[in-house]
Amino acid sequence: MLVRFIEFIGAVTERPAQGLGRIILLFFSVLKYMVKPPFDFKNVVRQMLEVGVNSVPVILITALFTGMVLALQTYTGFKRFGAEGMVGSVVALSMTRELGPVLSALMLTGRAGSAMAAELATMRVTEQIDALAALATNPIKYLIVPRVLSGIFMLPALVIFANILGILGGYYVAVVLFGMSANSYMRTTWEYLQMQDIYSGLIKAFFFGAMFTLICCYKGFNAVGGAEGVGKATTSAVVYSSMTVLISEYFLSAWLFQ
Amino acid sequence: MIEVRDIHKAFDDNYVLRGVSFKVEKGESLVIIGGSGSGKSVLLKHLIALLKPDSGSVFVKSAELFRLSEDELNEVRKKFGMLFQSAALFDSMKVWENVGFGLSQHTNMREEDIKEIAVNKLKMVGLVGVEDEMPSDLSGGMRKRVGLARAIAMEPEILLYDEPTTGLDPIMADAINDLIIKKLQIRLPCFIME
Repeated sequence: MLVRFIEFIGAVTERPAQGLGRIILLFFSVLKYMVKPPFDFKNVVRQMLEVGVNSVPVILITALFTGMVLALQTYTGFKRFGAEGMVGSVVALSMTRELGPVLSALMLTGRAGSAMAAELATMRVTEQIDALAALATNPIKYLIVPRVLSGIFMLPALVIFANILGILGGYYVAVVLFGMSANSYMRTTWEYLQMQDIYSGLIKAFFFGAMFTLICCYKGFNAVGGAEGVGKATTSAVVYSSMTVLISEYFLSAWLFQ
Repeated sequence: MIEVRDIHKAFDDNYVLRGVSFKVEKGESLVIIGGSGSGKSVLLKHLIALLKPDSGSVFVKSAELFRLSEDELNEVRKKFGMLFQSAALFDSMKVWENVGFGLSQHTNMREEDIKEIAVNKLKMVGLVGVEDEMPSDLSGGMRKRVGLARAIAMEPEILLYDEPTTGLDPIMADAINDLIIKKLQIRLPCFIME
């Protein structure tokens, strides 16, 4: 009975453990090729445009409405016990510490991460990755390093925009719709906001950027089969990346805010 | 020039290669014929170290492929040109960028010079005026010919063809065979046919 139970645990955990191990190995390979010349800046810039610049509208709309709904709920809720004056700080702290980095990471996973996984998976099943290697070009250096770099640098940049738009969204609801004093909103926004809140959000974004790009690239890079394999790789890339972002969010918060 | 010694390869329970050995010298051509799924492409991928055998070794110009460092292996790979079964063109790049990919990665040539070479190689395989097209705009036969142009762009010493005429109509297949045999003046091709 005990042996069967241990066998069951082993069977259930073997594949996830293998996957985790391979992603960690991929991470070390990426680190190695990041510092190994020659450097393909053109490719990195292209990925930064795709991952960062082209994601600006999605991130801004998400952040704007998140800030707005946060202000709406906080204002109506806090009014019950006369604390509606704190809306500004609630919106600012929530956006910078949690919602800005997490929602941006999730949106970027859905928009750019899925595209990465699908593109690499298609390249794998159509032998394009083999063709790269046959042309004496390391596929990890050429395909994965620029994507991971773009995630690491562009997600924190997008989070800065998201934080600003979230606070402005909250301002619109609290000041324009509910008639709160603009001075009061801005004062409470800045009064309780510390630089550590902003830095911690950006540090989280840095980790999330590395995590979602690594997972999406790993899933796409190791896809098998034809069109079905591409679909499966893309789906699992988005699911695992999103779960990893949400789970690591807790541990990063615990580490950063202890 | 190329020597394959007793290579074995299995994917899980599927034993694909069992002790394959052969030798090909400079100037020789080798055709490998076998049924679908018999391991022709798997064997070909071992010659350029895209797959690693479970046992056995491959020598290219006396260098044992699977004992080389990554940089040394890439130097060996630069001697090869390979036409893939599905052409394997990079679908995010224009036709000339595909043909000139090796040159753009491994030389300091200017973009205009690479394009000129790519256009010339495309001419050699009978394609004119398609250099700025995307691979998705080309027919199957044209894609194979672009793949062929890419394989010869770096002036390789060894050419590998993985089913170069599969899926093509008889006229196009004949045209590709003609290109391979007569026009390209090949030195060491490996044909793979069903």
